[in-house]
Parts: sequence; C-alpha cells; structure tokens
Amino acid sequence: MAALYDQYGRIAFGLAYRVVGAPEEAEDIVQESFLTLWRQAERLDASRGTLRSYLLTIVHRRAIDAVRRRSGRKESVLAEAGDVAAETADPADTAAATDDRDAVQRGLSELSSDLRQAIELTYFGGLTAAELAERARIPLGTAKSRLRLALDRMRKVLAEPSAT
Amino acid sequence: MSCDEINELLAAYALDALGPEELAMVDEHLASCRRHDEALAEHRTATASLSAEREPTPELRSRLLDAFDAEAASREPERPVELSAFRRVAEQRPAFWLAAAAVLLVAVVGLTTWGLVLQLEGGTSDSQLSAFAGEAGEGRLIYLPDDQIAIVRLELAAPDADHTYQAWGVFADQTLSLGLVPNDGVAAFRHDLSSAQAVAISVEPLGGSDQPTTDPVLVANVD
Repeated sequence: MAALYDQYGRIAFGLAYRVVGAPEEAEDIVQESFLTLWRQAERLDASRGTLRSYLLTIVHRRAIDAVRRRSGRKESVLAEAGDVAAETADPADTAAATDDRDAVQRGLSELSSDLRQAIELTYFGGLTAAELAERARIPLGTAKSRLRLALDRMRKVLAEPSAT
Repeated sequence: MSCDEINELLAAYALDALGPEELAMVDEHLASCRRHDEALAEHRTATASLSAEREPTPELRSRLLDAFDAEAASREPERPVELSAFRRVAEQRPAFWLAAAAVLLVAVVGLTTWGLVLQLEGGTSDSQLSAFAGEAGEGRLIYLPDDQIAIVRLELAAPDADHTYQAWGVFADQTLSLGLVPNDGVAAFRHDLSSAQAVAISVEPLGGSDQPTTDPVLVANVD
C-alpha cells in the first residue's frame, strides 16, 4: 500500500482537490479511495483500464458525490468554468506536478471553448450530461456528443509530443 | 440497452456525468458485455489525464497506512500459525500438491484471464492478477510483490457450520498457511509469495489446520 500511495498519492490528491476545492476533504477522499481500492481489488480488470485509471475513477466518483451533496455548488461551478489557469500557480507544487499540470493545460487548451466548458462543468464541476444540456441550453444529445468529442480530442492531444 | 446506446453514453460514463438511472443501466450492461472494454479503457485514460499532481500533507501518508494496517490486521488469521508445522507438508500430503497441480493445469488451459499482469504506469511496481479455478467456484487473486500482500476474492458457496476456507501458499517444497478466508470470500494476507507456485484454497475444520487436510477446491497460480 505504501508503494501504491507513493506512486499515485499525488495524482489522486490533485484530482480530489481539483473537484472538491478543500484540502482536508480531498485528503479524506484520497484515504478512503485507497482503502476502497484495497477492498475492491478483485474488480480490477486490466482490459478496462490501468490501476492508475481505476484508482482515479474511485477518487473522482467520491469527489463528485461530495460535490453533488453540497447545495449551491452548481452555481459556483459556472463561475469557475474555464478558469483552469487559477490552478497552475501554486508555489508549493513540485516541478513534476507543474509539468504534469502543463500537460493537462495543454490538453484542455486544445479544446474548443464549448468542449472545454463541457469538461469543466461535468468532470470538475459534477454536473451530469443532462444538467450540462440545461445549463448550456443545448439538446441532451449535443451535450453527450460534446463529452465524447472532448475525450477523443484530449486523447489525441496528449498522445502528441509536446511542442516545447 | 443496446451496445450502440452504450457507446453513446460511454464518454459521459467515464466522466461520471450520468444520472443515477443511466449509470445503473450502463453498469448493468458492462457487467455482461465486453465489447466496450477497449473504448472504456481509452476514455478512462483520457479522463485520468485530466488530473494534475498536487502534494498532500505528509500526514496523509501515515494516516492512510495506519488505517490500512488496522484493516489488514482485522483480516489476519484467527490464531497464529506455526511455520515449522509446514516443513514436512510436501512429504505428508503429497496428494494435496498433486491435486493442486491438476487443478492448475485445467486452469491454464481454460482461462483467458490467467496470469494477467497489471503494469503500473511509470513505475517499477506491478501487481499480479490471477484467476482462481476449480470446480467449486471461482475467484481472483491479486498479489502486490512490493508489499508482499495477496488479496483473494472467492465466489464459493459458504462451507458448512463446522468448516472454513483456508488459503495456502504452495511452494516447491512446502505448503504454508496464509490464513482463513471469511465466509464473504474476501481476505488479504501478508506473505512473501515471490517463490510460490500457486495459492490454493481448501476446506478445513473451524479454526483452520496446520497443514491441508483436504484436497484444494480452488487454485490460482503465482507468476
């Protein structure tokens, strides 16, 4: 477990913190997620993703559940949408974290504003596709298509070598 | 829900952006359909790439490991096992070994998930995922070499009130008790299995045995 934590603790915390926005709550989510990984280890299925992505799925679901339980959170999500840059300037972050974040920024920045907003509102903001459709005043099918296109685009961008 | 409909929802599923009803429908579909494995893995890779590392407080590590130790300890054998009792197991119960090997052979031939290795991204750690096989049921074995932890999840009918399932590490020259498996089938054991050939499950009297007293009902190999 120590080895797992040392390898994935920072990425898990980064995701939880990005979603819930509160360090103590994010740490609680990370701790519970690692224990869940341990308890549900039999569900690991390499054909459906790596251990890293499985752990992050657990972290994300817990974080999103926490966000969805909060009242009024969705209002603030709209205000935060697109404001990813605010996440990049913490001097306490390690150089590796900065590189990692740059990669995320690079991926997100390659998305059109519609697709970036779709990711921001759902993955980081906790909205469902139906809620995204309502907020963006678009048909539900369009909302789902945007999520699919956004992930397809992210995957292609991240697969490309960095321009720098 | 059809596979086409699932494909339409898969990205939203990977982003945790489905409502409860659609989420349940997709979960139910994926539980019995493997056609979407590749697409789901790709979507999850993309969503995982949306995360950026951030340094938590050092206390989180110690807190997590304490919680983990407490949970692992609650699953350890109910009574200590004398390792010396196993030294002559191979001689005393050769039938156990032979039966384990026989089940193992069936499993190697019959299981596609056999010996699946999950290579952790960007690191030297790896975990080994194997399937238990046998006529009595099925199960999964996950072994984390760095932590010397074996996790088993068995899908077996609960033994009668006078018996319990016990896990064994099968080595070339001996068979060692790993501990008892609770009736819910989930257990974790700390043991160095790097030189083990298999993990076997047998039915033993309540409290467990110092050495196997019955032939194994399930066996999983350890690479």
